[in-house]
Amino acid sequence: MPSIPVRPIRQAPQRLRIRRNINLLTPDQLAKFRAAWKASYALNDNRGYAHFAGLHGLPLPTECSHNDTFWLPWHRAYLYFFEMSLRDIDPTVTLPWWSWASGKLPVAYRTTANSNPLHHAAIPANAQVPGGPSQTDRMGPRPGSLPTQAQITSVLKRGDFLDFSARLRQLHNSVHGQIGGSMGLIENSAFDPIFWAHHSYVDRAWRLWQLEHPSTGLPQSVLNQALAPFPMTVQQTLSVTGLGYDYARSTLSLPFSAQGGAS
Amino acid sequence: MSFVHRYVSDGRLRLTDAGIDEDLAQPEGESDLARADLVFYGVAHSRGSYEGRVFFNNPDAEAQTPQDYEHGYAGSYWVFGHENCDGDPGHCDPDWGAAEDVVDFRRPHHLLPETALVDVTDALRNIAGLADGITVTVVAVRTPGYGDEDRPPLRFDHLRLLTYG
Repeated sequence: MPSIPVRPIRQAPQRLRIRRNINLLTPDQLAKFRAAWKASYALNDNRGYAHFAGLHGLPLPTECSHNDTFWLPWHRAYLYFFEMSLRDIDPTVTLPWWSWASGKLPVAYRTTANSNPLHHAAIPANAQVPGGPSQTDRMGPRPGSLPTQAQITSVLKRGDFLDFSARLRQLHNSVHGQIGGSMGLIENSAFDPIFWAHHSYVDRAWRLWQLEHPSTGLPQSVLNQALAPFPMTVQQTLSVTGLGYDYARSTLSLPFSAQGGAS
Repeated sequence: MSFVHRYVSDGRLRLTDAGIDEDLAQPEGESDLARADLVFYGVAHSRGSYEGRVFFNNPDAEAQTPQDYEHGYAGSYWVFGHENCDGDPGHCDPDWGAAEDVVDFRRPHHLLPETALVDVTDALRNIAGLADGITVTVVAVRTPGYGDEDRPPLRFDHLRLLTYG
């Protein structure tokens, strides 16, 4: 009987990239993330940080959507394209998420040591608000002011998408307000590096809700809508694995060892 | 920095059979109040971010009022707003009354008003003397930042109390 030929693998299968809890990154993961972030600051064209941060508010046009139907799909697309730009710099990097229930900003974003690029970012002159600063700042949050796990769990139990979306948006709004400063303004919030970890958590919450409510979702009438300025429709945002990523608390990769498997 | 703008209802929100919101009366055979939402419709977000603190039966509430049941605190909603208009004249004037046009494929105006809701279930259970209705006081406390204190942020179209059995 002839043997079945083994076809050579022409391309390694694409692995899901994983977004992790910022507080559980390994030192190496955090160092690479910071390096990619810093490199993004240095790009002044449409691959760089200022370009993506500016899409949210200033400079005009303001592209973000904050109504209950579109804000989750739009921000999923937003994070996707920014994350891809970071991965052009370092393909091992993903956007981490920050749990509000931790009660405070992550150390990775608070520390000023080593010119931490996650502490603040420059705001270009054409994106500054009248009387506002030329770099991001924060004025909070006060202890005990961030959403609790009980509040988040309560929102995740909502059975209707628009109800879930509206309540999650309220918690999201409160985080913007409690941090204040640049995060308190739609015009400048995306320039603050914590914005992306904050919205990664929002996106994770939507992912968790989708897993619990697989048969419900957005109104059919909006699925084919484009999410400008991104070449993506609402429908395309409905599956994070379809976009090539998923969420986990942490990851740790170990090399194979001929002496006993993974070491 | 704390800028406060207040809204006080005239007590028309009622929970009794005699009140104007008869549908809020508990239907026969149904269980007690399971959930109550205070929903703000037509919330403007063109004037900066703020926390809308909701107090029941405390028309004198202000920014310094403790946020507890004793002082009528029922919950908060948050508006993530646009502090300034960054365009030319007219850029930030949404057509609030426009009818939907099925052949208008432009995106909705970015300043179309929003809906905000506050879960007031626990606060409602703690209220006594519903026969006189509920006075709703909203105290808007601006997010610390670079706001123009001469532009009160608190604006909405109407509010509604929704109860679920």
